[in-house]
Amino acid sequence: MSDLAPITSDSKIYQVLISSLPNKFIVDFANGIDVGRDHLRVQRQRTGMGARLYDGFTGQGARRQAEINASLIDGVEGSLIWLGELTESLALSNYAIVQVNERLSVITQNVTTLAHYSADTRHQVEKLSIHFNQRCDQLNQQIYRIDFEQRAERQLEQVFNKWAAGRLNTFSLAGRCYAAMEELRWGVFGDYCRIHNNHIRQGFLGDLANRAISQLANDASMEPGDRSEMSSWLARPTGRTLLADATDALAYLGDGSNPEVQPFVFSITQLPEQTPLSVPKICNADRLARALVSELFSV
Amino acid sequence: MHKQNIETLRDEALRLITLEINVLKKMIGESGVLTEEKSGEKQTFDRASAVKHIEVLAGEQNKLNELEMVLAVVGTMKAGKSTTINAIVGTEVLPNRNRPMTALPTLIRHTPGQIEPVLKFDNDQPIHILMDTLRNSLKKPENSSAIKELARNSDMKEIITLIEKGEKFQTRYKGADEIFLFLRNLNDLVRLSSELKIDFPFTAYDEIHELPVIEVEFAHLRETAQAKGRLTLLDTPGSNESGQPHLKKMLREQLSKASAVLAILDYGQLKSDAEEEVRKELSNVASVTEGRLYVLVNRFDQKDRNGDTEEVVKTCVADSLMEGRIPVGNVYPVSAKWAYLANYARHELYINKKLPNPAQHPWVADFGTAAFGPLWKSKIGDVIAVKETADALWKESLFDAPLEKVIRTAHARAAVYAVESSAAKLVDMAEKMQNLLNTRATALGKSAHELERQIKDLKQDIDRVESIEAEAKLNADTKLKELTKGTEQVFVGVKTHIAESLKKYFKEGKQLEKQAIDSKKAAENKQEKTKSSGFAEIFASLIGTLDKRLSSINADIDFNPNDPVMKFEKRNDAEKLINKIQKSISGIFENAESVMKTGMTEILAAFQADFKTGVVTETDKILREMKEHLGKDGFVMELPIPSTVKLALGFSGADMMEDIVNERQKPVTRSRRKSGVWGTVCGWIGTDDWGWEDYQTTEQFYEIDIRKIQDAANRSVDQAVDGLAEAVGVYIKKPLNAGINNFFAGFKESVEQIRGDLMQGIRDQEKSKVEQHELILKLSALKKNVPDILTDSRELKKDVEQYGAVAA
Repeated sequence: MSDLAPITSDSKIYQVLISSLPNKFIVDFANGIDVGRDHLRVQRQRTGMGARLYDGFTGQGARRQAEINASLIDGVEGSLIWLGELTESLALSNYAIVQVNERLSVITQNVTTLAHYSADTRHQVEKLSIHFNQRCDQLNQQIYRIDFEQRAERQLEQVFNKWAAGRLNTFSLAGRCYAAMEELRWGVFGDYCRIHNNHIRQGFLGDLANRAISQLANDASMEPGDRSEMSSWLARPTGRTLLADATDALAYLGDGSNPEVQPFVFSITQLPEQTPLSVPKICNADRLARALVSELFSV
Repeated sequence: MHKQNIETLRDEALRLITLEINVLKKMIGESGVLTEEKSGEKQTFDRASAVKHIEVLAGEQNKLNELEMVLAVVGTMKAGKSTTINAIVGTEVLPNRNRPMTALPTLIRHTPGQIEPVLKFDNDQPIHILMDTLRNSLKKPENSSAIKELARNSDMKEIITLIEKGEKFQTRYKGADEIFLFLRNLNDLVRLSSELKIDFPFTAYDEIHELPVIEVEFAHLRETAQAKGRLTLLDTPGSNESGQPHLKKMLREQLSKASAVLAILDYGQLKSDAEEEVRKELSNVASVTEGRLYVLVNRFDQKDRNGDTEEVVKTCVADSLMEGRIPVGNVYPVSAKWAYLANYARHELYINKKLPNPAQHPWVADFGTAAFGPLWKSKIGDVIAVKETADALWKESLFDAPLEKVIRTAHARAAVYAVESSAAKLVDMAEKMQNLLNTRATALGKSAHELERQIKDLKQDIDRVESIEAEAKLNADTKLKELTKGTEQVFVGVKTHIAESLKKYFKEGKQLEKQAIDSKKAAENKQEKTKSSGFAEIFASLIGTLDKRLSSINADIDFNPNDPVMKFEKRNDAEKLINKIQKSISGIFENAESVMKTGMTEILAAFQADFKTGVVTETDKILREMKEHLGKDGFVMELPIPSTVKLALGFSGADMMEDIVNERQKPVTRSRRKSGVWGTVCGWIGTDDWGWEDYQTTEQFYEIDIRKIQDAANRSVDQAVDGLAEAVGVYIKKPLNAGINNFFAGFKESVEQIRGDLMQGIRDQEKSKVEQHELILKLSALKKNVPDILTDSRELKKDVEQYGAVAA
């Protein structure tokens, strides 16, 4: 039952999606702490990729599992404690931290207005809020450090090296492009693009698009302008070395995609029977890569 | 390179159409984006034209969903074309008569649920106008004797009566008998108008949708799972029936547009005198139907025990007859008759659960004999046996495989046409949307003064383009005149050549004549010498009388080297000489033809080159300047890039030449085909043309009048020269002008529309700031998907062009 096993930092799929999986998981987790309707959303995520990441992060031991479950059932407080623990141990990206921070400020507001939360819970939220505020400040300063640009470039380099080395071959052609871009978006490259003005960002994104086009075309053994049926871009490869988790992992990364707004991401990750109307039936590397850049990085 | 499936291209076209319709609908829905039509000003879209554009796109959508597969059926005389069509349909829709029936192409459309065939003739106006013209012509006294002559033919008499009574064609005919009468009347009408030298309105029937159509359910398709699409058979007039260049050109166009072409030929013709004729016809068809042509070799059931195998026939047709122009796999020996009878029987069983009475329906006897042999009567009542045998006979007819393959080809080809047509419209529409949205959004940020300057500049651009257009047309005219003149000169050369050739053969003929007379005289002398010997003495008195007559004839055939009439005693000698003369004249014509072909191709190529270097470059320059002055103000425009491809003629000069020369040459060449059957030949072309007269005395002898041959040949040349102007008009002038108009029309229209959009831009600025801001938001929301739609449409267009090129 490999696809139900917890995903840890040793899991192959985790290694492949080393930036996007943990960051998205933390953000999802924070967003799942719903003080208004308690932990309904946390409960819903007890299945699939999110659950397995959860199991992985909380430790595989059944003992610990039971403990955490108990504390979750207790309510918001347990989740907050765990969020605190988790964020200590993981190198989160600016993007994730900012989102968790945003969520925390909502939670802070809610726990102060809602009567049934204990002083302990309020204290817990406050502590976490301060912690995240501090981390945000630190990050904000990092942005002005001169190596920020270099780090962004280095991540771009790393991700594309990984892709070129075949580490993303477990995904469909389009899936590789998407995975690479998600890695960048959740990482320092994404941070860099979000912080800078249109002009600098366009330069970086142009670079990203060009490299993606070239690698995609290379993987497909085609010219960047050669067209092929969309289904061939979306088809999963076959072979023994493929990771069983690959499809689930992409589905997880793209679970929030809106078919109207991000039709390509939706098609690649959710593999619907009918692709949305704005996704062409025939596509080339150029069109595909550009569409993904604009869907994932447009602000 | 991954090759796309045509189905995917079709899906993509459908997707883009939906997207474009959505954008257009939103444009109409958002207030202030589109305005009402303004007279004297063309905008890219106004409210009314946007609705029309949506209709156009919806039409394309229909075409893509309901593919119109046109399967053209061509056949040499009596090869079994009607039987083949009836076999596919499964009932007798076309009469199997031994006379040419199709003067106009007729469509037979598979219409599920339509058991009894119905002929629809909605485009009847042009025929009624023709009938009025004919009625007037019939009244003219100078035509009365010709009409009397025509009316000796009962069919002609009938149609003349019909016209004189002022009767009209109906728009609906039900059942095979009514359809037969309609087709016969239509056919007679074509003949009558040609006899009375009144032009038949062929151009009103040169598009598929203008033709009469018979709607009926095809028995065969009822049983097999049907591909998405609508199958229509196009019954074409045989080449013998089509004389006028209009009809010929129309046929070629329809063949080149057909989704697939089924050529029927007769197994028996393969090894007969007709083979050469069949070869020529097929190669004509093959030249416009590359990749979509299938040949059915009919009457394969009539081969004897020692006849060829299927494989031999396939190879023979593909390699020898067609010289490798179609693959062996596209040739199918079949029996149309068996297929027809089998399908007819199955159809009857399906409808009535039994076969009709053989006494009233002779085909049942034919079916019985084919299916059960001579003892069919005892078995024909057994429905189960009949069904089984009909199935077996259908199988034996070998029709299944070609039909399936040809329908598959037709389907793919029809899809290519539908996608090609949609892709062109999609690109055009996306460019227009992009232009409108960009222009209006940009214009909002400009001053009225800037806009006015642009509007003025664009007007100048249009004027410049118009002057280039006028020049191009003048140039085309000059080139056409050169062409006509050059061709006329070739014909003058032909006359001289023929005269020289005839002189030579006249000399030869005279020599033969002299030899014959000399040897005859020698023989007579010999006869006289042996007169007294043996039994001859007994008959001496009789021979005496004979001698007298002989000598009187001898006086007649005394050799006169200056007499233009050559006399031959032996039919064989005369034929030989005539054959030689004909061969020589044909050779001269062929030679002239090739000279003209070359000349024509050269002149056309020169014109194309001129057009490219002159017109296209000039227009390109204007286009660039325009883009530049618009771009300076931030207007990014999609202007149609003029392409020379649009100028390409549908027909090469060579095609046209073939038409002129073959046709005019007929009086000369026909006799070659039918050598040996002089009576028929003389009947065809009129004795006086050829100077053939048989003198029936005690001996027959034959004379050839060289003057008459010369006259006939010259008349042929004169006719060719007369027909030249018409042919040049049909084949070259019309398409050339259409090409030139096309080239400029799209361009001018776009520029006019951009001007209109800019004028609207000035009016936009009169609105309040709030309204202007709202408009900007609306425009940019609408604009969002348009660049992708444009990109995808252009790619689709390229894909389908490539696909079409590969398929062809």
